[in-house]
Amino acid sequence: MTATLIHPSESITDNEFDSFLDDEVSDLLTAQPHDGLHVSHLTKIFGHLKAVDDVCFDVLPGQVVSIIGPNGSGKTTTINLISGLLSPNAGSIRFGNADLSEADQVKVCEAGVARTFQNGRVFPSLTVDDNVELGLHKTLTKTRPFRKVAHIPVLRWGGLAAEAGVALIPGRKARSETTGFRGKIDRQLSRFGTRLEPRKDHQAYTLSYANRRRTEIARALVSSPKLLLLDEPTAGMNPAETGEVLRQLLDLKAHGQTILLIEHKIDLVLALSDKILVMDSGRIIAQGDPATVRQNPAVIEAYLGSRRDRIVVHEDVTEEPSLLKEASSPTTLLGLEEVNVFYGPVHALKDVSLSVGKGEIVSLLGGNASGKSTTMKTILGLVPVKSGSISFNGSSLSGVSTAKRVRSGVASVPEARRIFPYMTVADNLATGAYTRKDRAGIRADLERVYEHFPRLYERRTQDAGTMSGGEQQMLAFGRALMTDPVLICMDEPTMGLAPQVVEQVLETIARLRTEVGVSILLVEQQAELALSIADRGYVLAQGEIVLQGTAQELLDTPAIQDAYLGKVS
Amino acid sequence: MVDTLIAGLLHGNIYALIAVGMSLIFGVTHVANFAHGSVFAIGTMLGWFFGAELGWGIWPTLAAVIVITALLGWLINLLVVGPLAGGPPIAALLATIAVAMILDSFSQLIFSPRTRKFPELLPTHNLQLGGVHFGTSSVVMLILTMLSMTALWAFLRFGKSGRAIRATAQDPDAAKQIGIPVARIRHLSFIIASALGGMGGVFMGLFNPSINPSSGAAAGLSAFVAATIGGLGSIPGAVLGGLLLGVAEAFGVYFLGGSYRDIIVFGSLVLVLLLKPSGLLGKAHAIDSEPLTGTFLGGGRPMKLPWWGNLVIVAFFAALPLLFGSALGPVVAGVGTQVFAYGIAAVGLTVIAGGAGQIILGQAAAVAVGAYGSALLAIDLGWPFLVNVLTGGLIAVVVCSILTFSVWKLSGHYVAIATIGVGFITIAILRIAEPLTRGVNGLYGIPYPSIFGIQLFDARSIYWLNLVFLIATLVIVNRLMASHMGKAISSIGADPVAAESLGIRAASYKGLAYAISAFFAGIAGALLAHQYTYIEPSQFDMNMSTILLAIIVLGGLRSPLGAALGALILLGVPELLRTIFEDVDWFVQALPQARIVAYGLILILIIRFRPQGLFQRK
Repeated sequence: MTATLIHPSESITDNEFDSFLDDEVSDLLTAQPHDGLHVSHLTKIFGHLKAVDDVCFDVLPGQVVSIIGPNGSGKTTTINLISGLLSPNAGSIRFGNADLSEADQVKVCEAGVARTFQNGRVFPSLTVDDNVELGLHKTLTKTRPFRKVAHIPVLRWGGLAAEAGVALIPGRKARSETTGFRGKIDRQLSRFGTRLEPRKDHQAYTLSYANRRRTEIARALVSSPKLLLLDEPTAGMNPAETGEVLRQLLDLKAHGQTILLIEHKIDLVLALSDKILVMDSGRIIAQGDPATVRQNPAVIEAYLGSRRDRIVVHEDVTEEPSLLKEASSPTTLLGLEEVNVFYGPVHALKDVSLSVGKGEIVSLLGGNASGKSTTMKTILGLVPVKSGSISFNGSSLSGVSTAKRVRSGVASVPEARRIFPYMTVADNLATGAYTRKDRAGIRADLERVYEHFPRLYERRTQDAGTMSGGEQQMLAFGRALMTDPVLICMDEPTMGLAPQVVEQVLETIARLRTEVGVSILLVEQQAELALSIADRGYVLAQGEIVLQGTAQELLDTPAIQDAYLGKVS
Repeated sequence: MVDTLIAGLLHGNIYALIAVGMSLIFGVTHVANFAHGSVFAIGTMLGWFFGAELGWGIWPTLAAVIVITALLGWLINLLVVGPLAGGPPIAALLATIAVAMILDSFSQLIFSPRTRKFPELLPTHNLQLGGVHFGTSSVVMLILTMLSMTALWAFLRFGKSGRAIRATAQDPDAAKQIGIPVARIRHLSFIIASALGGMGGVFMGLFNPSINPSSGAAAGLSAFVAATIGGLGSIPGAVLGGLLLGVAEAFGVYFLGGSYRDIIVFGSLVLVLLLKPSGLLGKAHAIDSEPLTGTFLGGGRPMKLPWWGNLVIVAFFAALPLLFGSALGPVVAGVGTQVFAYGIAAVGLTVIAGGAGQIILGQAAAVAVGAYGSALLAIDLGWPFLVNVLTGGLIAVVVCSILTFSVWKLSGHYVAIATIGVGFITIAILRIAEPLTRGVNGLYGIPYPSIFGIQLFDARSIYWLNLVFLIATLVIVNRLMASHMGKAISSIGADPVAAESLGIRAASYKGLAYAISAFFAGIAGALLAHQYTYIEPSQFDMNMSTILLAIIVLGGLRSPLGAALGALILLGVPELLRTIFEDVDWFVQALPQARIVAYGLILILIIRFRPQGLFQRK
């Protein structure tokens, strides 16, 4: 447990390490040798969902291993399992000699594993200095006397009382331990140059987003962990800041730090990793070195979806084939003009302009965290717009409530379906008609929904939460149809569904356009799938539209793959 | 026995009416609405007013009460709870406590606090069945309750707005996306709940005709317990919980006596929270909806004074009683003594509430234990004063830590709720343990403080004594919070998950923070006991807990100095006003209630507009 406190001179013999002989590096090298992290048959089940399914991998000492994969593929759950935040349903986690399968966060931490969180969980009310100091908590012995009993009920009170006593009247040793912090903390802060050092007395809530992430990384590193778990360390950072983090991580790697990393920015992953694990639907679908993984067809399919034939269900061919239309059709139904959206300090949408014409299916594509869902929420009026304009059916939507937008014909199929699980199917559908008053119309629409989805009719008295994912998706469509929509915005309707169900869902979407006559804005990660039914498409990356064109044009563009999987370097 | 069962069912019936409302509001807004008991109490008082003063019959009375309480519920959501939606639920919970303070005291101001007889709007003893006497009144109550429960069930099941309420309860974001006006639905749930509460209030008067404006707080808390037993958010659960609690209480009191009432009610609360926090019929998901700990304080830096600033303040307060003549000096000193004692408890409370981010709603319990501990050591064993005070603090630590020992496993505001229970249980134990504590008669003849053989009789000496204790408390708490241990405590308040990932055991440090708070609360209690020379259990009621909390909310939860200044404002100002206007009769009479109304308003305004408190900078 206290291995990191062994004096450097005790174990460094090799001359080649001389150049690194500052404390930090020697801490790393003198850490008890470990033979790495070994995860086998790890499984975690949430309700009906296997979030992590029989996952096996190793992280050897000195390696940098990255986990990539689409949203909801189980990456963060894996990290949470390893760090002890969640406990697995099956499988084992071994780190060095320690079996961490059932360990809680404290035990995992004391075994020498440090982590960061997806959204940068610093302690907002404490200063940067104090945040980093708390990273040293597990290494303290003098200010935490009797810490060996800390996990024993009743006895631990003795330890706590002693700790309070030392806090009030520190002895000489405790004081020198406290002053010993200083050097370690400063070294961590200096890692980030002038970013953090001038702000070390600032409370963390006053920091910029990027600085919070830096503080968190410093807090994780200050205890010289044997294994570092990083959950999207560059989420929300701009390219320059991301580059800076990459340099830090490369530096750590050069010093022999073992790292397990989740990251969406593929360029960073490719540059850093010794090994990449690709997860999809809770399973590892590929692993290997960066070059192999990038070419792996299963990986490309997981990200882009399988290439499939275009579904053409147009029955009346009075219209020109939409492929030949201009990018912005003359009968614009929905238009976004240079829309900017911020989440606190994060610039989530940057000058996004797009349009959906009457009767069109337009797909909005992009990788994780590219701003797709934010765009949809913006259209629905769920997030405030900083600048730019949104118009629907010729009138501006600024200042219009979500309820009014729904009444004027903007319906939504939310991400992960979000049906009301403890209400019957019939009640779910009836809730969809909340904004309407025309009883006859509602009844007719209900019949039409049941006609389209006979399955829903069969299950109308059943609680919606008990249905399969595909059925729930149909219900979400049905609920949207009950609002009597002109435009339906769909957020990843194929997410988490089995391949044959995905096929069904896509056909349904295409049919909705021709049979019901609605326009559809289809937010999707799986580009090939979405483009197989769409007329046009936009590709978002980091909140900006980077590509647009007809579906066929986009399908023929190799650049789309780069937007997801990074450029070949 | 049958009588007891019937009485229990009728009482449980009323609990059910209130509990259903609380559950409905909790389901839709995720706010534990502690003002609901006050709405119910106002229902009782309005029923008395219409029935006795205006001479109305049962039906117009019921109708008028329902309309007014429904309106009141809507106003509560419109003005207080609604604006806090989307913020941390603990802020809304505190705000509803403030609303309860305001409503209770307002009702006392309007109706006067005296106990009176509720008019017999329906005959109560005209029927007989198998040797058991009962009245039309009971039959009407049972039928009306059943009817309104059925109507509510049908409305939620089949009504368009009822469906919208359920949808909002299950997934407010999705409800919003399909065009349900979520804010309006929340209003609706408050209106329905409050109307039912008003009806329950009238029934309470019919059931137990001896009423007063403050009788609702206890019933409200019991109903909340009933809702929690049934499962917060579950309507059938609330009905079941209400009936169960009513019957359990009736039998418990029948066999054990009235002083066991609180132990039964709050004992079952703590038990249910520990065994099945989601309640008997609640869905397990209801409980982990949000991380409810922490910190509506968010950021904010406690104000610090330079060393000479501290010196000036200390010198000022040390000299204060001397600045007034021999007439006013002791009065000022008396007020100051009180302020300092509350200040000590409040400064201690910042460690758990501000540091560890855990609101404690029953801190008066620790004050009480300290007071009794020190007083008994002095009376029964004749120990010296200083030893008694410090031992009193330690006894408070041990007793309260044992009582709350299992509570730290719970998450979020379930802990806060459980501490209410612990507060009530402590007071009930003090009442019951008569051989030791002299029960409800209280403890007489507690000796004045004496230091090294010198007894401190006069107000000024005790004032200086408490000032010294307060300064010591401030120094110690500041020193502790600046240490590594203090930072560890602060880290679990800010983000327990991140703290545990650094190897900081959240439950341990929360327990430690509470122990520190209890220690200073115990010291404050001991000082109060030796100052009053007489204590009895009801001095340490929910009001004291709420005032302590109000003090630190005002001063800034993480600011020890702010807590001391908060005590000065909240206790000192009303006392000084009383002294200044002691000849104005109506003022002196209205002051006790007006002061609570002012506390409530201050709490609401601070939570809404300056959540970091007065003495903390953003």
